[in-house]
Amino acid sequence: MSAPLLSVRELGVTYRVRPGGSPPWARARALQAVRNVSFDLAPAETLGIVGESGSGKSSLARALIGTVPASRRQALWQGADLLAMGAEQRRPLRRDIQMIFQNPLGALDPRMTAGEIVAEALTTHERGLPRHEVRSRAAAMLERVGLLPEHMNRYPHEFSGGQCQRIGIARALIVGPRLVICDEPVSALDVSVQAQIVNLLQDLQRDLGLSLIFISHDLGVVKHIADRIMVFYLGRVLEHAAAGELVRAPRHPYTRALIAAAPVPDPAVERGRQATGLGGELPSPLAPPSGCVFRTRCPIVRDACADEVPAMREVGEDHVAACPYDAG
Amino acid sequence: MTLLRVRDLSVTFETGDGTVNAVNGVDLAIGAGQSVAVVGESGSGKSQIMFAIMGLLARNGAAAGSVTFDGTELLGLDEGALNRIRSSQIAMIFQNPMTALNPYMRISHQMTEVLTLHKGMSRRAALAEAIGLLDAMEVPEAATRIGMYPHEFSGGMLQRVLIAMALLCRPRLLIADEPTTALDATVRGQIMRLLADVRARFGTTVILVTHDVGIVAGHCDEMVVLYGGRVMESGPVARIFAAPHHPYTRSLLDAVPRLDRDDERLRSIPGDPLGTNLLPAGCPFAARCPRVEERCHRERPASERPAPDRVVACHRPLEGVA
Ligand SMILES: Nc1ncnc2c1ncn2[C@@H]1O[C@H](COP(=O)(O)OP(=O)(O)OP(=O)(O)O)[C@@H](O)[C@H]1O
Ligand code: SF4
Ligand SMILES: [Mg+2]
Repeated sequence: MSAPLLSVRELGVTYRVRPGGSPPWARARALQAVRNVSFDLAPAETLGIVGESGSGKSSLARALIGTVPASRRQALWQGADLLAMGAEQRRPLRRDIQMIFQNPLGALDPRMTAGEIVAEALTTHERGLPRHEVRSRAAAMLERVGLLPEHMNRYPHEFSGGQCQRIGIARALIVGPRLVICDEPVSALDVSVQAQIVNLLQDLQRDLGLSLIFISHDLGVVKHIADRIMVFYLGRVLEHAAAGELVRAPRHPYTRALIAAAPVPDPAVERGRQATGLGGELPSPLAPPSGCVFRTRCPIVRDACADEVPAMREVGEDHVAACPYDAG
Repeated sequence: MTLLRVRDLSVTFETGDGTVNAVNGVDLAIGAGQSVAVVGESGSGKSQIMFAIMGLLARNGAAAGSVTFDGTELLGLDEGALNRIRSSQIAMIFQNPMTALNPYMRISHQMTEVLTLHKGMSRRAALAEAIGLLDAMEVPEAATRIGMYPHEFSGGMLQRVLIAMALLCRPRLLIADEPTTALDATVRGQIMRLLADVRARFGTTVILVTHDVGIVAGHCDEMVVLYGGRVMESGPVARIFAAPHHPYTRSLLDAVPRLDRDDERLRSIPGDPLGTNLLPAGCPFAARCPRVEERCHRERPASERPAPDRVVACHRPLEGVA
């Protein structure tokens, strides 16, 4: 692997929260949304992150773009420490790292036209560009993401969800980023449109040599776009492997359950499958289980699982899982 | 026996920008004890069909056509008679269970109220009945948890509570509108199994409204595919999945990202779902259809029956072998 573009070591994110329904005088508690996450991201590589809601995926993304504070060890961007940077030092990085969000319409300013939205992103980072150049570059980018010239002058509410997401992508890409973090970019879209956007992101990633971090709760979608996948559960990474290998040969019991839960659109397969499926529910992130965070729902749990947080174990080539027992 | 029959149902909404045609001439026949999936993308009219059945359309909405439940016409029925059917024979649950509950009231209160009010049960008997149903819906420690408030439950647990509540009056028909959409993948399967269980144990007819064709495969017998407020195709799930007749059904099934296949690219459908302000003269899918021909834009395809149990509305249906 070439020198990583981004190198994250033992990253954590902690919020101070008051539990829902508690009185205003109750003491705020620490919610550890992300714990001890490490990974490397190479240039032009796509890292997929899957996990259920509240597993910490978005918090990781926000920590990387600096909108929530990370309790560090380290996040190195081409060797420079992201987490130690002040706002001033981060400024040039805001161009290198762009983000695409889940709610396509909500992420766009309703008072600006598509053309203005994309142009504004460009002029924020390149002041003093001549107006006609801004306009032609914005038009070219909108066309690149599959919109028509006449769309330039329309407002967000005049677009479908899929088209809004295309505008969001154009806005992110026009500044020439190295890394684009996509946080659930297709979960609000219909399946037919979802596929369009995933394919578009895949094309752009290849053509522009971008690195992507693609966050989704849908393993099926992630598998299609990612080179490698990290599986999150209650703020921790439980497994990390090449996408094909993770789906073909999952080693962590949670990953196995996730794969078993993914519906296969084929009645013959579905009916033949025994109803395994996980019992129970995600514990509260305010009171995660001791030891292995998955143990309260794990089908192969043992007494020892409550004692110690399992270390990441090498289970194959470039494949690690946080479970000492083989689910085999 | 056909429990619910919908004939030529249309739902329109009058808005400042003109008329919205949400549902356009839909026919359905749902047999007692069946589990039927109504599938479609957002805005295809799935929910409005159900609201029309329940008499719950928004104030600017109007339904035309016919909806008969066990022989009784529901459209235009007076409020009192409709309420009697609604409270005792048809129940509905929604995507977000929180919206159906009063956040300031204990679950015990919300569940027993139905029974004491509508069935004249004593509070004690009602409480026992409610706990029994929570128990049957696999809510752990039901007797304790019934005393809690809605926000003290997780999303999946709350959906169980709602299903239990829906069953209090032993309805003959349960309509579940996207009941698992807001839930996590590993909890989704639990709720789907629970719905199957409800049908088996109580003999309830279940209509599952969903945009997710994936979950239909394992959990329903019959399916109805909607597009632009019209039925594109209907029939037994196994037969439609094996050989869809309608190009839209085919495209929809192909677009689902699959873990069990190594496709390089996802197969998308070009363009966007139909806006409801326009009512195309021809086939609603024509603008996105890979098999479209000139006539499709002009003439609306009629519903045909290529086999006794299948319906398709297309000028150039796909041949099936199943
Ligand atoms: N009160 C209303 N006034 C105007 N239009 C409405 C109203 N209620 C619903 N509609 C429109 O009716 C159409 C069909 O809506 P419906 O809720 O049945 O879609 P759906 O298939 O359930 O979609 P989803 O998957 O998003 O829930 C939509 O275009 C919707 O915007
Ligand atoms: S009627 Fe024509 S446009 Fe509609 S689905 Fe059939 S072939 Fe396609
Ligand atoms: Mg709906």
